[in-house]
Amino acid sequence: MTTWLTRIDRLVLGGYMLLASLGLWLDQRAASEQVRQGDLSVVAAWLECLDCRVLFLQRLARIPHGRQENVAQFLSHALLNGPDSVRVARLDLDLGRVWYADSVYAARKGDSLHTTRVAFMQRYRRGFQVIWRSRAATALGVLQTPGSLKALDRALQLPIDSIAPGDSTIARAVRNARAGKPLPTMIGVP
Amino acid sequence: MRTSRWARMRRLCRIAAVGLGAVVLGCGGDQSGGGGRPQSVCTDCSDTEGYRVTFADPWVGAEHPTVVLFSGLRNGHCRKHDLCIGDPDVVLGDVGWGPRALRWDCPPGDEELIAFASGMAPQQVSTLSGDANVSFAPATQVDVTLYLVTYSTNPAQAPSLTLDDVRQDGDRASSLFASLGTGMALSVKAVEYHPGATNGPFDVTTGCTQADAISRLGGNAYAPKRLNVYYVASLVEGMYAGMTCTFEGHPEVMFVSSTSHYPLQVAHELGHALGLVRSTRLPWNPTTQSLPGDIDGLHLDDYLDQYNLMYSGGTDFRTLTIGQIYRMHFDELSWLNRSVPLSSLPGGYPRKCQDSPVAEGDCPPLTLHPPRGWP
Repeated sequence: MTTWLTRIDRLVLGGYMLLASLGLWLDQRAASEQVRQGDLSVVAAWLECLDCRVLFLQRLARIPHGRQENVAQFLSHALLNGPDSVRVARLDLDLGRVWYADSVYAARKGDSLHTTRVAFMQRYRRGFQVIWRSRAATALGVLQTPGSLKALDRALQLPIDSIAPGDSTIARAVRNARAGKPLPTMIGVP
Repeated sequence: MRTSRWARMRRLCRIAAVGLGAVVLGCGGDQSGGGGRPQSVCTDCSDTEGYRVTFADPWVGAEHPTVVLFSGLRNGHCRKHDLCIGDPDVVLGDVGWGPRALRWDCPPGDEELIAFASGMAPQQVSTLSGDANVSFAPATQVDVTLYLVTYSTNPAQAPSLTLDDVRQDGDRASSLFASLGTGMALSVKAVEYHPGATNGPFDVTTGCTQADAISRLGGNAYAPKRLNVYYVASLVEGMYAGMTCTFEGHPEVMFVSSTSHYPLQVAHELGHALGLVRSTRLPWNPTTQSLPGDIDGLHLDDYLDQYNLMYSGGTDFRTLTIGQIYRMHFDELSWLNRSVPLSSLPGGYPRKCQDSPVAEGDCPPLTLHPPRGWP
């Protein structure tokens, strides 16, 4: 081979091979990133989309073990810290609009609203937290990886404020997820 | 020969003009009321002569904007689910149904003309002889009872809501149904319900598995001729904000979680009870049918914008498509049609509407809506 390939030929061939390897590596990296994003988009949909049901959890259970910890990390944050600030800000904006529409509707009827804006916002923010964290706990229970179990254990240590409505609901979801309790039959249209 | 060539030339010019007009006017763009995927539905409503749809009531058209949905032979083309907005009348040009319109690509069963007016019930027109003078009926009344379930045994389940909060939810739903042009008037009453020492079917595991038991309660706990919405402590480990029991045979039974629901949860659940329950397949499992009601948010989000009444987990709802309003009135799964067998009424109503948000079927696409919105 060395007899008929000049030094320049070998350099060019080597360059091509290097470029091809680089291309292959980049392609694989992009594909794995796409898969990772796909997993996370399923998790995000599970947390936000209330009409998304048990098949989403089945999809989570089918994620290969190598990628499950990645998803568990995302869900742990959702369980322990609740929805991120961007989502909360978006919720506040929408709630503000609903409150305004309520006020206009009541004023047209000659009535006034029986609750304050602060109480209204607090109630629905709280409900959003309950759904978000309960769903995160349930998904972690489906994964049952070391990371997800650790997050559930940490959530069990959090104090339950019996005054805040919904805390007991989250705590029950965490306990059931930690125990690996089978999911309740989900029928009906959420 | 010369005449037919001339006729062909005229037709070609007309097609080109309509095509150019569509491009210039942006016709056929977003049909979902914002944020949706563009469709090929494109309606030419520029006729000035021919079949005219007028409205008997003088306030219709001015106070109540109208939309006419048409399927059949129109201006020599077989059209399906054309939408024209009234100004205040709607002129459809040269239209035909029956033997006159028989063509291989225009099956007689697809013929349909329905007028929609905000605040009125949709009105079918069953003949194309002469012009149509549509007289709308008042909005269809839907009676709803909201039950605030108050527990006596488990303090952890004590509802965090008052009856005033529940009434407010009912007012909000009524106001929204009116403003979205559903053609329905909600008559809502809110009551407290004490299930007794054992909580009956409203214990911590309550859900649609108890719909049958609840429907047997009767008395002050259930009314068969009303939509019954129960505010319970929580639903399925806190994961759900509301639930409708359509696929358990009880679309009239709904639940709302007292601790975690959205301000317009009642309106959303009523949408399910009124036929907006068709499921879509999950993208990673395209070969198998999804579970009833198993809606893939990622998939539907491309079609229904985040302010649509049926957007999952939405907080502030402002849109509802004509395709959805059609289903609420004419789909076999709508509670309004609970005692009407499929296709038993003239015109083949109630119909079995297709699952797909965009595919053509017995009903207009779910996402069909005037590009610039309505009402």
